[in-house]
Amino acid sequence: MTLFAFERRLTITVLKAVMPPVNGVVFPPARTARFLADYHRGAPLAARLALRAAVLLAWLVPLLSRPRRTLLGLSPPARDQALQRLFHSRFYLVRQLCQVLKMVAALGHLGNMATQVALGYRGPHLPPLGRRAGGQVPSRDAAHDDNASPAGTALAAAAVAPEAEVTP
Amino acid sequence: MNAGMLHADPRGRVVEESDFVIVGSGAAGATAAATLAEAGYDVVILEEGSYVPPGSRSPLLPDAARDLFRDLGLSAAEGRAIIPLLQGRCVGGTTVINAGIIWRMPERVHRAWVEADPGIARALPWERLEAHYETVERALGVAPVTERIAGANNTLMARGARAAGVAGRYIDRNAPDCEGTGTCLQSCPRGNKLSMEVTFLPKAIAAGARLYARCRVERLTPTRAAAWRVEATLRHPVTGERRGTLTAGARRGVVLAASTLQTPALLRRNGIGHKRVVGEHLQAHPGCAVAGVFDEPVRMWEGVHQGYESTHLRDQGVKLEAIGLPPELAAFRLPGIGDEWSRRISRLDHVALWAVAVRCEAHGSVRPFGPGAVRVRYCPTRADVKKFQLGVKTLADMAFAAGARVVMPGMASLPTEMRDPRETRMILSRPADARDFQMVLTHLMGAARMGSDPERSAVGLDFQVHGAPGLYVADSSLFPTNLGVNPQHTIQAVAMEMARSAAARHADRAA
Repeated sequence: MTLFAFERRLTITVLKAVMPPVNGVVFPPARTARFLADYHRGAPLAARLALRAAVLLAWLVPLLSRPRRTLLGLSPPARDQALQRLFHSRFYLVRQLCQVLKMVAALGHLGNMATQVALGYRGPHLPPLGRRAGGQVPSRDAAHDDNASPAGTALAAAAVAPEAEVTP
Repeated sequence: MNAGMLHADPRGRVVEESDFVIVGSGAAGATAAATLAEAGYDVVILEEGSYVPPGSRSPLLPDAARDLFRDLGLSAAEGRAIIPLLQGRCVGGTTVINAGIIWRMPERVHRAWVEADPGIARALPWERLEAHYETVERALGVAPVTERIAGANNTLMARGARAAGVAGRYIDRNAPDCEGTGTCLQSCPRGNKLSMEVTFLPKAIAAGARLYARCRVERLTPTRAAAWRVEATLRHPVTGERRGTLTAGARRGVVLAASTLQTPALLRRNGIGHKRVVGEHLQAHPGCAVAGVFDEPVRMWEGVHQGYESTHLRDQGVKLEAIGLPPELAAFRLPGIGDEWSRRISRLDHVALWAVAVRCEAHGSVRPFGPGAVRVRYCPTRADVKKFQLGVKTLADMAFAAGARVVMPGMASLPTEMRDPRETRMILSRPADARDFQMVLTHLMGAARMGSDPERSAVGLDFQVHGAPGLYVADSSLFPTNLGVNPQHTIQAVAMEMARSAAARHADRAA
């Protein structure tokens, strides 16, 4: 159940209102889009539906009050006020949908090394940007490479089967 | 004896035959596998998740969630409140993504188990558990966190505890060579946390066990006597792409070690066990967090993820711990939305985050919900929520005592920020409502509990599911109640006792 292109654009725009730039650091939409793709591929059905519902809610609820515009049609201060009203709603479910938006915004916007470096968050203990143990730059999907198992790890040292041995 | 092997990405049609098939490679599965394999039994381990070695791990939470967590870490328990729950799904299970906190079960909890069912004293004798605890502690290099690597989030909590007169200590962990990278939740990039994939699983494989990753068990069928056939699909855990099938014959038994959620779900899916008890009595230690803003930089993501704890309220079922989250998750825990939230995030490096974990009396349930998925129902009672309030109040007092300018108690019914220590009194006066907190459900136990009465328990005193000889349970689902402390250590001790008991039983038969 992937997002349609317009849903992805709408979601990214709503997330920008949920988490505006921090200390002037703007969040690249491409990274947020990549997280959204992972989200819609790996999250359970309830979480996927919750995000869709949360985006629709944030987008459309401003139509219920003046000026009757969607979230995207409002000025930035009015947009912020609309979100505040939702966030402090007396209805628990509405507050929880706002939490879904916050979680996706936090992981989608801040869950990449470039943004963390820009914000000064990256810790001195972590390997330099783009590098991991062993001095290699792994692909983003390195963990999914078949039998990825660098030498030196205990399990790899034990024995890793080549495919041919298990596939008749 | 077969040669031990890790099959990280098996494909095609795989057929296996062994003495024991173990479902799950976390704390219980790895320990049972190592114990049985070292006792000379032929063992096959089936794990649904991937093998992600330390050298390929990402320090970023979204990557870790995709590769190592079940459902991206986005599952939730339903009840009066919606409570997210976290479980590992990878070779090594949740031990790969936990904080590595090691606690023995309090003896009074064991006494309560025995009082409720005297047979437990025979199945899990305290003296043998203590011996297993010592074995595991040696194997995992358990030692307390040192101030050198703790990081400010932990040292500030220590300062707050001293200033507020609250008992506390640096936590015993299974990471003797920890460098304080603060990435326990995303898995240790150096392999310094001695989780199962770097300890008990290599031991099992060295003793001849074969481990299949990306292998989801679907069906359990008894064949003859105590023998079982296990059918699984080989599939990519993230994309779901099906890559083949695996059939494993277990001559002496199957050991279910798939977690408190997956083990009862697998039993119910296969129509095994009494429906009145399998999947019932789920217990847990839900948690919530309190944030404090300090003048000095904290950078909670540097240092040990969880390095300091307070046992001050443990007799009341409340455990307090520092919890340093990566920025992307720490930001989420801050209150507010829009500009207000972004302003708070801009000071994130000055925020300390400490958690309350509660030994709840509430009971929940687990049900299968589609292929490989479960539905969890759980809601803390009013008495449980009162414990949350007590924990939050104590942490708020400690934060002010440590020098916090602002404390954010994280309760919907209270002001978002407290700037005066006297304001913390309000916390205890709120109505007890689980929806007041943003909780996380951790330390799940007891949904296939052990006992002598098949009407009241799912697993017998011989660790076998009532009415299903040869089908053993080794994980925390067999605990009669929750523990009040982190469960990994007890899961391993109990799994060791289960494996010892099964090995002895089959040795007798062979003799």
